[in-house]
Amino acid sequence: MTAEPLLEVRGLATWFETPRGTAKVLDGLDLEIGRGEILGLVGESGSGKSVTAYSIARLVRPPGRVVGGEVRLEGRDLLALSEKQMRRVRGKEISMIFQDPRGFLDPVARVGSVLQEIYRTHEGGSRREAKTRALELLRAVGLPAPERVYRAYPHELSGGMAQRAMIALALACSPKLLIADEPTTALDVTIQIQIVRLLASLRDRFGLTILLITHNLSVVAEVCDRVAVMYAGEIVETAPAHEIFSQPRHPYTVGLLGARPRISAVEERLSDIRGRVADLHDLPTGCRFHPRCFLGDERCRLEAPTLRRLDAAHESRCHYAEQLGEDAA
Amino acid sequence: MLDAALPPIREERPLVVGWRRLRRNRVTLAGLVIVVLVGLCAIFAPLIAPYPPMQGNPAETLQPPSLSHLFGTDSIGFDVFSRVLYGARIDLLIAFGAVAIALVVGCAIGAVSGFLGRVVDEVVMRVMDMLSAFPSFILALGVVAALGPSLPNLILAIAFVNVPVYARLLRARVLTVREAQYVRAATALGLSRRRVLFVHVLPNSLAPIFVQSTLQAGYAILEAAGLSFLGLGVRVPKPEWGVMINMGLQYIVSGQWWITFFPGTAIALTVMGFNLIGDGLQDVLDPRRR
Repeated sequence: MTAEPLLEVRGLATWFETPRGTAKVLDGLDLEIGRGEILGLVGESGSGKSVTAYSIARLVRPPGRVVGGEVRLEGRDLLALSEKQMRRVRGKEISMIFQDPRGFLDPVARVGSVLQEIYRTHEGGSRREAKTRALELLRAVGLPAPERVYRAYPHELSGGMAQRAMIALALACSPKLLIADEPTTALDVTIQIQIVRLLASLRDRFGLTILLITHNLSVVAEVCDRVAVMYAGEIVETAPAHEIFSQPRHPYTVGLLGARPRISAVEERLSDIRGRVADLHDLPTGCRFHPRCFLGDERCRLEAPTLRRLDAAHESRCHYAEQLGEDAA
Repeated sequence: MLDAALPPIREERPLVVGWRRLRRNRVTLAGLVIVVLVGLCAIFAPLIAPYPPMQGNPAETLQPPSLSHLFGTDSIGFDVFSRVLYGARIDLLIAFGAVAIALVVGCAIGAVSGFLGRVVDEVVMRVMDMLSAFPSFILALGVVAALGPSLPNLILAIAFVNVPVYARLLRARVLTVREAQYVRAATALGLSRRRVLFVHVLPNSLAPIFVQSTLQAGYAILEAAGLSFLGLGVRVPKPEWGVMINMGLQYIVSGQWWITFFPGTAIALTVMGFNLIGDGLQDVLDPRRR
């Protein structure tokens, strides 16, 4: 990528103090998102995807704490901002949508009033302007009868409608980056694809950049330009979306792909990845994935691999990435 | 697009829905009817009452209930029926006044304490613990004794002992609501802590406060009557139910039961009315249960 990335995360470390000791959920995470890109962040539960999102928006709550690193949005380090400055970034430059849209909408506030509130907090303006903008947004996210949604309480909306309303809220002040934390997980399969396509169309219309956190590889295949695979708090592979599927270069990615249900393979046994997600209190030495890896050997046990560039757009954190490529080819 | 597939929105006005739920809830409705009746008595006391409340007729003392004196007369010749009606004014005023003050002050304390947390929370809640450690009646008694017996002081005293109830209740709710996902979302969209507290946390925390208030209003009447009975609140000859019971106390043994019976019944009915309302209010107030 030649242009400066919109968001650049360097060495991000977020630790959680627990009775069992410090859990280094993120410990030196690097990530880049280019302008107008949809980056899929995938991994198992507990791999640190959501913590990454919350760390970027500086919304990690105790006992969690961002202890180091940089999060540069257009070159400005968000971790160095005061809380007050950060508040102006949230909603205005970085917005978030979440897994369970109904849980994330205030149950006693009408959709319209929250939309107005967010808009006026950042942009000022009269109630009338805010209302016009709100209706415009509700229409933009594909809600029928925006006037009625405007007056509705969250419990009056279906899950899909609520997620659209949540997206409208997130886009109220034309943010540059939208962080979508498992936006489709709580929805019906048919609605999932609608929401994902909506996100892609919004990217095209508003020049949005999207960090799409998901464990659903179908979602990735549908809309992502690039994919970053996360394991135990580290990025283990990044590649253009189509390459991830055709030429995975990390054994973990290979495992994820194997664990993905496909209609064409109903008779086949669904493969899984043996073992459990690494214990963040007690990380394995060397490569964090080696105890579960089908390639793991002595070298993996002793020597931690770095994220290596394999070609212009493909990076992998595996000693044997090249070999994997040959096998697939 | 697939818009047509989206289900229609259920759209109903909150007041209409609230009323419908209320109608279904007989117990609450009964409580509401009682309190409204008592309220009407208070408002229209001058129109309904056959005699002035504080003007005795020395010729007609200790009359049993009859057509001319529905609830009889007391030792000074006051008409008990008229005084019970006027008493509703004072007792409801005390109930609403004390609850309103306690609610505002207690909620402010509880909200700040719960939302800020840490040291503030710890200090505030320990003070509240100290206040709640006293039996509330004794504490109110002490406050009135210190301030001097008068109607405003009585209201203040009762409000004072109720503050910890609200502070605790709201704090507990705020602690729960503060962790709710929608509060996190509001923060994630750039709202300030103050806005999040007032616009999202508080409205979601208030339902149990209203429920509690109906109960507290009942207790307030009991406390007011109790203090006045002891001569530490409203004083003779003002028509307050507790005062009236006090005035009739010595006549119970001699058979003039009506002097104490009717104000006592008024207290019991009103307190019951408030308690019944509280029972079903939770349902009516929750928007999700519509």
